Amino acid sequence: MNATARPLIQLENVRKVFYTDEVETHALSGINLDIRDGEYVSIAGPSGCGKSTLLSILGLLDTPSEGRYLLKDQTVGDVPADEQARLRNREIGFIFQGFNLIGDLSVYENVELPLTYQGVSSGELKKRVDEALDKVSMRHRAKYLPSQLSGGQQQRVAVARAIAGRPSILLADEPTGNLDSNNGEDVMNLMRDLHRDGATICMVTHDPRYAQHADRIVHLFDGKILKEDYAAEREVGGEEIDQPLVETGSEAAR
Amino acid sequence: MNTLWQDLRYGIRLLARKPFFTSIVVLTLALGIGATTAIFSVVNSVLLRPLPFRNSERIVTLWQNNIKAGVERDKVSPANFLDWRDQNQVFEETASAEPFGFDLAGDAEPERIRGWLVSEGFFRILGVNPQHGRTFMPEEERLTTGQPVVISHGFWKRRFGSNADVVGQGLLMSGQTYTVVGIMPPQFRFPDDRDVWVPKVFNASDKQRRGANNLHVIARLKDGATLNEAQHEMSTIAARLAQEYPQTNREMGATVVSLPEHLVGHVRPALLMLLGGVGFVLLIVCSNVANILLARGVQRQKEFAIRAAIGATRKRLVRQMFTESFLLSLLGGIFGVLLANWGVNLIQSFNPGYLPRVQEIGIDGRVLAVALGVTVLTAILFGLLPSLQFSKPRLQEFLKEGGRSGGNAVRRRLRNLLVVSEIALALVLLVGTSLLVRSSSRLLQVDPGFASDKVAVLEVHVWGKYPKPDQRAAFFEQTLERIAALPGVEAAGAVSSLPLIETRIDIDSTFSIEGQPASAPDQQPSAYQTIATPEYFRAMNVPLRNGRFFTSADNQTSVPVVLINETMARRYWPDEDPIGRKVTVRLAGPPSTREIVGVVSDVLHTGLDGAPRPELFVPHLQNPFGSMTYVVRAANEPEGILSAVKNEIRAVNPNQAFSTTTTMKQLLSKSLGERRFTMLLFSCFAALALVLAAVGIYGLISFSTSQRTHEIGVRIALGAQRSHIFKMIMGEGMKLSLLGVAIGLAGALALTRFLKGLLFGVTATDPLSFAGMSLLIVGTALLASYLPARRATKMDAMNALRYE
Repeated sequence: MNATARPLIQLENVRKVFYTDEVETHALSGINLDIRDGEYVSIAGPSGCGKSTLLSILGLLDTPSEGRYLLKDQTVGDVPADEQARLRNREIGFIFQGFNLIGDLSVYENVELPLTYQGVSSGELKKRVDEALDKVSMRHRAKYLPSQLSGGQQQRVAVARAIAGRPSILLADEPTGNLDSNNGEDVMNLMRDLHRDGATICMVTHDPRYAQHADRIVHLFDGKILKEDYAAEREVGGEEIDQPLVETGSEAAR
Repeated sequence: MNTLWQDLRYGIRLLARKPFFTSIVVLTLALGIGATTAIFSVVNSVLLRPLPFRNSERIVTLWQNNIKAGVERDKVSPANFLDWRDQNQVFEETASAEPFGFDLAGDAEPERIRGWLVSEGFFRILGVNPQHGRTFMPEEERLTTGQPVVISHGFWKRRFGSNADVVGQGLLMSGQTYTVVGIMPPQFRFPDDRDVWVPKVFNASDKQRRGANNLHVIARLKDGATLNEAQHEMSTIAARLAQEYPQTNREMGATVVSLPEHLVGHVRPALLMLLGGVGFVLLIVCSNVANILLARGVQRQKEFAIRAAIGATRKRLVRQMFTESFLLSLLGGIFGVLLANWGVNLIQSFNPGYLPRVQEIGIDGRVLAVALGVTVLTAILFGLLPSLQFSKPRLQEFLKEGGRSGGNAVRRRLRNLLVVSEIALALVLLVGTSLLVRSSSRLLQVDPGFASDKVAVLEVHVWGKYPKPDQRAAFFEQTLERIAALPGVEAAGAVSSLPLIETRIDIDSTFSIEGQPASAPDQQPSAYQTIATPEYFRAMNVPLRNGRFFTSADNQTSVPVVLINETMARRYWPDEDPIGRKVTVRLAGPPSTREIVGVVSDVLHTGLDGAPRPELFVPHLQNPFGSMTYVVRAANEPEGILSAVKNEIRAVNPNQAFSTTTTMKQLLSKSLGERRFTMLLFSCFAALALVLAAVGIYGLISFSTSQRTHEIGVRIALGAQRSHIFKMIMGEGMKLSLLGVAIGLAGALALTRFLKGLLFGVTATDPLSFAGMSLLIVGTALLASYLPARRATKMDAMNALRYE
C-alpha cells in the first residue's frame, strides 16, 4: 500500500442514529476514517458494534445522520438516490456473507448484471464477464445456476460479480461467514490476490485470522473506532495476534 | 370419517382466522358461480324445460316460404291454409290462429283488447287444460253467433281481479256478446301474449283469399310421422298450389318448423353464447382463486412440511387442502345462488322483449343441481394445482430454512400460466363484447328513414263503430284536426302500417304499370301498401325525394294518387322519373289506376337491421282504412301529450279504445332489445373478466415482487437505479400480458365467428375490436403492474437485503 496515495474514501465525524419507538440508538458516533487507493482495510468488532452500518454507509446503501462522506473527494452522503445508485454501480463492488446471487440467473448472467446497469456494450460486456470469471477460476461454470454450485464456488462468483464492473473499492461483509474453513481460506486468498493486483478492499469480519490479511484493522466498538492496527505494527507486537478481536474490543471498553 | 371431520374443523378454523382472504375468495367465487347459475337458469327455463303443451315435440308450425321475397317463415293466407289442411296426410289435425282486436265495453273503461280467432282443433292440438272452465266444444267451434270466448290468465287478473265466477258470464266485445267458457293458466301465451281466444269459422270469401297472409298455423304430427316427411308432403302440396294459382303462389313453398324450434330457436344462439361467455368468467375465477391459493400455499409450506414430518401422507395432505378448497367453494356457491336469484330478478325486470318464457325463468331443482355441480367442479379446478403442488413438501429445505424459500420455479411457472390464461380468456370476452357494442353502434347510426324522437303513437281500430268508409274518413279527419290544434303538437297524422310496431298490417300485393306490357300472372311487380294521411310524413319527418306529399285535396272526388318510396322507384323506374306515371293497384274493391305524385325516402319497417322494401302509399281519404295508428310529433317530450291526444279522440268517440299507446323512441328501443340484452350481459361478463384479470395480474406481480424483495435489494446494492427496478417489474407484467394477448387473439379469431349472427356492420374479425381490446388489456395489465413496480422502487436497500 502506498501510504502517500490520496484517500479514496473519507468519513468525517459520521454519526448514524436509528429511532425506534422514541428510543434513539446511536449505531455510529463520530467516525473519522480514511481509506486510501489500493489499501486493504479490515473492520473488526463484536456483533452490534456498528460494522454493518458503517459498511452500508460506505456502500451508499444508507446515509449518515451527521457528518461528511467523500468518495474520490466528492461529497456523496446526501446525493439523490439515482446518483447514489450510479456511484454504487461504478465505484463500489459488494461481496456479501450470504453470496446473494440471483437464483434465476446463470453464473454468467449474475456477473454481467452490474455491467448491464452500466450500459456496457455487448462485446465489451462478454469480454469483462469472461475476464472476471477467469480471475476467480469459474469460467467453466458460466452456464450453471447458483443452486448447482458449492458455497465456495458461489462466493467466487459473487467476487467475480463485484469486480466485473471495475469498481474503485470492494466492500466485503463477512465474506467467509457462510463457508467452511477450506473454502473460507480460498476466498481470502482470492481477496489477497485481488489486492495484490491493485484492488482497494474494505472487509468486515469478526474472524481474527482473516482480519490479519488486511493492511489495517479498524477496531469498532459501540459505534466508535477504538483503535487501528497496521500490519507493520502487528509484526512488531505479534503477541496480540492470537487474541480474538472481539475480546480486545471488550477489554478496551472495560 | 373422524379425520375428515378433523379436516373440516381445521379448515373452518383456518378460514375464520383469515377473514379478509376468505371474503375475497368467496366473493370471487360467488361472482363466477352466481353469474353461471343465473345464465343457466335462463337457458334452463327457455331452452331445456319442456314447453307447457302435451307432447310438444309432436307439434309443428307451418309457414309460407316466400322464395321471391326471401322470407322463409311468412304467415299463411286463409285459402292456402284451408288447402293445406284438407290435402295433407301427415297431420292428425291442423289449425290456424288469426290476430284480431276487439273493443271491450262494460262497466269499466272501454278497452281495446287483443285476441286470436282460432280455427277448429286449436286447443286439441296444443293439449293444454284451462285453469278454470273448459276450452271450445267441437260444436262451438263452428258457431258464427253466440260464440264462446276463452280468456288469458293475465286478462282475467287485470280485468276481473282473478274472480273465477267470470266463467259463464257474457263479454260485450265489438258489439257482440261472447260467453266466457274458460280461463287459461298463466304460462299459456300462444301464439303470443294476448287477451282472448274466439272460434274462427271460415267463409266462402276466405277460400279465395291467397294474398293476405295473416294466419299462424299449427299442426300435430300423426303417430309415426316425422318432421322430414311432413316437410316433404307440405312442399309437394305447395308446389301443386303454385301451379294451380301462379298469380299468388308462384315461388311460394311451405316450411315446417317444430314448435320448440319456432318458440325458442331464435334465441338459442345468443343464449348459448352467453353461457359460453359466463363459462369463460368462471374459468377466470378459478384461475384467480388457484393463484391466490398457490401464493398462500407458499406461506404455508412450513406447516405442510411439519405435517408431513410427523407422518401425514400425501393423500392426507391433498385431502386437507381439498377440504379447504371445497369449504371455500361451498361458501362461494351459497352466495352465488343468492346472487343468481338476484340476477334472475334483474333479467326479468329488464324484460328483454324478445326473450320467450321470461316469466318462467327461475331457480328450480335442476338449476340448484347444476349450481352444486359447478361449485364442486370449481373446487376441483382451483384446488387441484395447489393441492398437488404443496402436498409434496421438500421437508429438509423448509424445516431447515424456517420455510422462507418461496422461489419454486415450477410453481412460479404455474402462477404465470394461470394469469396468462386469465388474460387470454378475458381478451376473448372483450373482443366479443366490442364486436357486439360496435354492431349496436353501427345499427344506431342506420337512418330508419324517419325521426323517432318526440313522436307519440296511438293505435286504434274503428271498423265496428264506423262501418262506412266516409264515416271513417270523417272520424280521422276530425280527430287529427283536434289533435293538431293541441298546444305542443307540431304535426299529427295516421298510418295503417307504422314502422317497428308489432301489430302493423303488412299488405304485399301486386300492381301493374301503365304503359308497360302486362306481366305474366306469376311475374307481376309487387309492393307493400300503406295507407296514410297527408300529415303522416311530416309527423314522422319522412323526407320527400321528388314530387309532392299528399294534401287534403287528395280525396274520393279527386284523381287517385299514390306516393312511392325510393326502393320502389329504383326497382321499377331505374332510369326514369316515376312522377306522373300510373299504376293499377288493387285495394279494397275493384282495382284502381293511380298516378304517382311523389317519391319519399325509404322507411325501415322490421328493424334497423332490416332491408327497405318497395312500398306505395295511398291517401287515407281515398281509401279510409279502419285500423290506423296516430303519429303525433310533439314540441317536447311526447309522453306528456298522450293523454291530451286520447281526450281529443274521445271527444269525437267517447268509447274509443286504444290497443297501443307508446312513443316511436320506445318502439325503436324495443326493436333493439335482443341485441341490447346480449350486449349488456356480454359487457357485464367482459367487465368482470377484465377486473378479475387485473386483480390476477396485480396479485401475481405483487406476490412475485414481495418474493423478490431480497433479489431487489441485491440489485440495488449492485447499482440498479429505480428505473431499472421499475422496468424489471413492469416488464414481467408486460411479458405475461403480451403472451396472454397472443393466445387470446388466436382464441378470439377462432370463437368470434359464432357471433356472426348477432353482428351488424362489422365482421367477426373486425381489426378495430381486436386491436382496441388488446390495447385495453395490455393497458390494464400495465396499470395492475404499476403499483407493485412503484412499491419496488421505493424499497429500502438495507431492509431488502435483510428480507428473508
